[in-house]
Amino acid sequence: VSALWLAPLLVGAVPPGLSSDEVARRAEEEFDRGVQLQRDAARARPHFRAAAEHFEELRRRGARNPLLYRNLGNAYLLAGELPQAILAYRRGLRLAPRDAALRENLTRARALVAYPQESNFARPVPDIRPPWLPGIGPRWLFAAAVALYGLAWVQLTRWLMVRRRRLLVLGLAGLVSAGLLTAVLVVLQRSEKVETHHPLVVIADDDVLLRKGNGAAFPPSHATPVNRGVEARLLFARGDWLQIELSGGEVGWIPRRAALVDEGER
Amino acid sequence: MRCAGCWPLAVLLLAGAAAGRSTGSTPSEMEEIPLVGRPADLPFSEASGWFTVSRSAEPTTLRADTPLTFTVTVRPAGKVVRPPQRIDLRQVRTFDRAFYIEELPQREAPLEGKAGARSWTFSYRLKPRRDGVTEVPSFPFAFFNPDVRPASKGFQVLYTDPIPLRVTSAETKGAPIRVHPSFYELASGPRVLAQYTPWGLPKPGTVALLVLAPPLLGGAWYLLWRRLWPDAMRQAQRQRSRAARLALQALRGAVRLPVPACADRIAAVVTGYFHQRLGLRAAEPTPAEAAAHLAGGGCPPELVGQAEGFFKECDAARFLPGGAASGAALAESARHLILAVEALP
Repeated sequence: VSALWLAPLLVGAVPPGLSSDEVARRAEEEFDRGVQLQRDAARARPHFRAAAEHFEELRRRGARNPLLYRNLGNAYLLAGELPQAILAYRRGLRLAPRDAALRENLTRARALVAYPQESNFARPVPDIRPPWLPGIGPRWLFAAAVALYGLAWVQLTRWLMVRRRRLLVLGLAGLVSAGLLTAVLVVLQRSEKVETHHPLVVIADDDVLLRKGNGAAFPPSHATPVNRGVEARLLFARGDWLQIELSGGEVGWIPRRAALVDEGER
Repeated sequence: MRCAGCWPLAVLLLAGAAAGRSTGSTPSEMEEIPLVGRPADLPFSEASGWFTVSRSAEPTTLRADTPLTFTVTVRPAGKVVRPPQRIDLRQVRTFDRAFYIEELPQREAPLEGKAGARSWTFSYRLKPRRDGVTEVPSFPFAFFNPDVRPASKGFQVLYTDPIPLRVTSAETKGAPIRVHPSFYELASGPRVLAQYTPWGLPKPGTVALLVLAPPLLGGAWYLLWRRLWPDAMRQAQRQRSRAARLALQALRGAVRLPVPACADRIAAVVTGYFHQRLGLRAAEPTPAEAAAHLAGGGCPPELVGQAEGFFKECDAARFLPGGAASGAALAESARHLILAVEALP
């Protein structure tokens, strides 16, 4: 949805008929120009915005990878578009959840969001996973589960032949481990489904009040407004209003124009 | 424009009008605006009667450091007991957070087509506080409707629709972008154009195949093994005896010892096995004693001879250094002897 209402701003910025290589080259050139002008934000930001528009064009053409999303996020952030930057980093992290550069930049971008002082309201839940712990994607989890399961049956078959207790123990341990990995995989797939059904929402305006209903006439559900860059989940959409849930479980309605929604990425 | 609670208002209006007639309220009483029931979080316009509200903003595309003119026009929609007063927009939080607010002169003008009726226009100069402002928010017009009874329920709020704005950056010329250097990093090359294919679980048929294949293959392997190496299978079955399994395990450890100690250990292992399996009482039996015990237990003569020969080999290894069998050979003889006993019916 966000892409739809951003579309009028973006379409036309990239000349039609360019190859993807050419679009990427132009994006880099605009970015480099912005870097050269970084001492003068007013002059640099349009170049970063143009770079972001070119990277968006690549995304529209089907390119999807963590590097593109990192470039997109950096260009948006340097262009002063904090919500778009956070959305880009989050999209990249959906593809590569353990990408260190994306995680660091997302953390730094979140530090620029004006969260309410002395309160955890609307703040994202901190990642308790230690950074040194290697992340294993679902692909590798599945491969490991299959390998362990196969090995477990080899051990059990050998045990049937020679009746050595060690083989029985190894076989049963392999089956249990394969089961555990499968359980982790199922949990990951379910959380992925939840993300698909309740996509990410990034607040695009400052001072957006969460209301009790889908209209400005409804009273606020929370007295504290949320600012641009705050992340939430979409629960429901009705007309021009979205029902969202913040990280702390607070639910309320906001105008659709005040949010970017991560829809239609897959 | 929306009216909060318009439907109940109509009902209350009729009820209130009836109540007003029945109680015979005087005009001065009707003009009174009660203190109880006023909106707590919104500024009150001091207006009493029926009204409609419209709004406009000019321009709607501007820089963050330039102002726009926001105009609110209040028109009567029925009788007017008290005219509206200017609302201090600074008391409306959504306005105060987004704009610097300056009041402009208000106007009062006769309404066209309605003799004696007037409209009230309030203008404000709004300057966006930053470039993230995207709209002029809803304007809440709170007024009192004297026809509603009880009077404390007569306070109504009309909200105007927000007006979308496009506010561009108003950064000072020459001000640098202050962000972490990592935001200036840019990846390049063909990897930026790559199309990542998200992983999904295989189809149910593939999963079923992956689940069923290992046990089926294992079963086939076992059956094949039984068919190809039946002796090995019988041997494995023989080893099921706990005493035999422990003895065979002890034999594997004894091989590493030097020959006399190895022979000593192997003889002790076999004696212990005979003790558990066949009830041999002697702790260190001579070859003849061992043969006699086995023969007395009903063992076939070949097995008795095999046992006697084994103990003789052990004695030779223990007491005649140089001319005896190696530890490995003794262990192998012991293993065969144990398996032969296990093979007994």
